[in-house]
Amino acid sequence: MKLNAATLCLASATAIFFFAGTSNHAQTMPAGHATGFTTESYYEAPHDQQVKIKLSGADASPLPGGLLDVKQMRVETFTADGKPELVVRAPQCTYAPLDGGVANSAGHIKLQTADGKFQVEGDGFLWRQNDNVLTISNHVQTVMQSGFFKLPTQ
Amino acid sequence: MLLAAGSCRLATAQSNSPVTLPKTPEQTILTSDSAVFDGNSRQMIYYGHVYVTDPKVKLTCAQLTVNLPPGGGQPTNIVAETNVVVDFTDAKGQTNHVTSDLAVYDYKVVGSVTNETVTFTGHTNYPPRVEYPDYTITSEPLVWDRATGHFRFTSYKMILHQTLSGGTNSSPLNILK
Repeated sequence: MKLNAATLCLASATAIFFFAGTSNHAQTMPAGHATGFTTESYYEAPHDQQVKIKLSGADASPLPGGLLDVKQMRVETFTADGKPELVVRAPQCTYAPLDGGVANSAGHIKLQTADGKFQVEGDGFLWRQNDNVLTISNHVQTVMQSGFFKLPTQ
Repeated sequence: MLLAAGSCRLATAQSNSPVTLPKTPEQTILTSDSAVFDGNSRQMIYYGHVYVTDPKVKLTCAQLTVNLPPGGGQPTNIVAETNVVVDFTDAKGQTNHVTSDLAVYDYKVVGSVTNETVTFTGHTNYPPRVEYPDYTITSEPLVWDRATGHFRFTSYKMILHQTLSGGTNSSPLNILK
């Protein structure tokens, strides 16, 4: 899975983006502000039409160094047959779309499986989109809704 | 004005709406200093001061790995490592205090047979042990069979906590090999 081979979608009715260049879209960076922000990465063949990871934000502003300040970050992952797997949400993050799709924040983060039975919260995180790895730095708390054991205690 | 990248592909109609479930008496709370989730292997690894609080069991350790099943639902494999301590009360109301280096929870259904076990292992000088108020049993490995509620012992030793004069909690007497 390569982010460059995937997509960077920026869309908003009020968005104003200026790209530094047009010859290589994977290396261009928006300058401006957007109220809609989505990046997607795809499975490799034969599921290359299937979204694997979608990162979106309600609001994105450019920062120095090609970074984006993303508000209301939301990461969704999907199985190769399109079923939702996980949802990760954070109020804010700094996103580096040209550096492996790395997002990080000192703020709060929530993760849960699509069925909601496994929910994780913590403070401070690093999300490496290309590696599909999320590190939660502090105060991790998980709720397993259906308990630890399947069988009743004998 | 807006200049869309040429390689842009529109987001699909997929939506992954969060599900909020009511808190249930069966739920397990797990806390730790930090954690790493690997989306490729679907492993959540908890590091540092790991505490698991469950209606049936209390567990502490230094590192805990939870393997999430691909289809969602309850984990079927969990590995606790380093200074593992498990406390639970069995169906007879007896407290069980288990210590080990490693504990592996495994749930399998083979045909019509359901296997749910926790296998404790240690090292030469400190094998896994289960402690009761009156005695301690060491065994390598020590297997807690959840289907039967019994422990399975291998090369075990039993240590009584009572003295020959009937006192308690002094000079443990090793009576079994």
